[in-house]
Amino acid sequence: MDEPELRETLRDADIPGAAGARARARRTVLAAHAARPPHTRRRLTPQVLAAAALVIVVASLGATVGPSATAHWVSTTLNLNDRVPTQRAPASLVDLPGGGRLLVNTGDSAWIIGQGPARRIAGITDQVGWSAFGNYLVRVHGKQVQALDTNGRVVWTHRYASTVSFPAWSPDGNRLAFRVGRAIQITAGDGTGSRMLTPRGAQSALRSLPIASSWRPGPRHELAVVDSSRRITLIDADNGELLWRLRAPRDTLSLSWSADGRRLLAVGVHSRRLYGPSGQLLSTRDAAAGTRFTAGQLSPSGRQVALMRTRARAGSGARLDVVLVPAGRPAKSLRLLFAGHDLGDLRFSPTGRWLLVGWHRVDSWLFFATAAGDRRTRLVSAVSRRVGNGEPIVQGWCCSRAQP
Amino acid sequence: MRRAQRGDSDAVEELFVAYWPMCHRAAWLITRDATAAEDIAQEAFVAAIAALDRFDRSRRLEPWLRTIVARRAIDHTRARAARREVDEEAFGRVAAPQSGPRGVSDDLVAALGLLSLDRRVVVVLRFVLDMTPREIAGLLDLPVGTVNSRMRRALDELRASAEAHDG
Repeated sequence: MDEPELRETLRDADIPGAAGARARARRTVLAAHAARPPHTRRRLTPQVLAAAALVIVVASLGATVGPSATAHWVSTTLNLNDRVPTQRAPASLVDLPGGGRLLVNTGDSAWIIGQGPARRIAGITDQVGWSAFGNYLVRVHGKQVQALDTNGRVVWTHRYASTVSFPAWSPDGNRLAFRVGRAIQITAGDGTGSRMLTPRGAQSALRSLPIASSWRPGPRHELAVVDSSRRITLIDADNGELLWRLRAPRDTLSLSWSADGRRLLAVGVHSRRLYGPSGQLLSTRDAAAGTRFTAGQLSPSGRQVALMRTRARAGSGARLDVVLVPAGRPAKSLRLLFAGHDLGDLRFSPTGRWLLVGWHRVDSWLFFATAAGDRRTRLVSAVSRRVGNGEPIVQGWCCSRAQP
Repeated sequence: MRRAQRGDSDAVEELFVAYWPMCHRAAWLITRDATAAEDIAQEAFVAAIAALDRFDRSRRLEPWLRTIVARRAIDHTRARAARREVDEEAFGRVAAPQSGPRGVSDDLVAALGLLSLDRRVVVVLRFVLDMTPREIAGLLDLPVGTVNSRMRRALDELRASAEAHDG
């Protein structure tokens, strides 16, 4: 075997799954390119040319003026910092493929991204969430919960004896639920009527696990909670009526409703369960052998499930993949959207036509069209730069009109 | 490159078509892991796109891409050896289904996979990424003589393997 033969053989070698990898990478690379800020070429403006000429002239007098004095004189005389144009579009401008606005938590602030320049709402933020129509947000930090408008004006503040977490505004905007210690607290949207959620006839308040509660869309204020006995409890938040109590998947990660309130998805580490309008179990699907789920969400239509998966024994920073599967059907009909390391922030757009995946390793958000046969992918790069160089966590995507 | 910098997506497509096979193949031959190879090559391209404005337009993209692919593939392989990932292939099949029957080059590729990482790397850098011994030495921070001796031993091993298979 000579060297040309070796070269040719290696270049012809079959790579497992090469065609699929190429197609996925092509979409991602083109999306990354499309997401770049507008190209700018720095032109030599008259001010800069004048400054250069003056620098030469003054530098020739440097023996008497001195270099730092020269720089100061040029700078203050021409006010260069103000006059040199920067044509680059503001980094904060993000055109979200699904429309609407993202609510992003960087720890020291909440950020509203989309539909214009990013808006920062300063203040230590453990978790944050949208109100029903995106006019307000709820922020929790330590033992405090606050409702604010989108300009950052505090509408009301409550403080509790225990740590507050997992705030969730009801779809009609009239109720707010959050976890205080292990109990669930309910208030009206204006902050009045704060009380612990207690099942009717029970002696004590409902105890919950640290999993976000989920309001059922519909005319009543019904809240799905994973209680301390690992059951999914659907309870009327106004009168305490216990509507369902169902077995939850082991190690439940999330609960999500379809927009019509007729389907509830519970995703656990090892399985996902889909429930119908009366709490009947529609399907149970286990994670594929050797894998586990790390996140999952039901689409607003209730027809698709987005899942993030990794190897069963993988540690943090491991490779994950993101798949889209028909709700209630076997995972063999899955559509693999993406695979990579350091993924997170799995979230459907308000219309369900796009799916957001955070790709932290390259500081980007990926957006995938979800319709069958629609292979569009968008990428928003330099995410941390758009939110003041913080570490962004997407905690809400609110309120857009349908976009093609 | 200039067209890509100006925002021409067709130019990016051309760059992708020109360099993806080389990057993906090199990453796979070094890591022997289809999923990792996809990640490494994809991340190299995305990093290149992110840095497009900073590229000197008189230079070519290829050297930059092959350097980052080689470095990441080597790092990945070393890290994986340290972690002893026993079930990676089971998960990897989801993202990168295995291909069909073995092709004619499979024996050589299998023999390449049996080489030590140090020798495998120099073969891939030389014959897939078309790097000179001096460039390989620079990338691996080794003397050129060491690169040449690793190459010679690697080729001897591959020839012996081929002869054993033929014989």
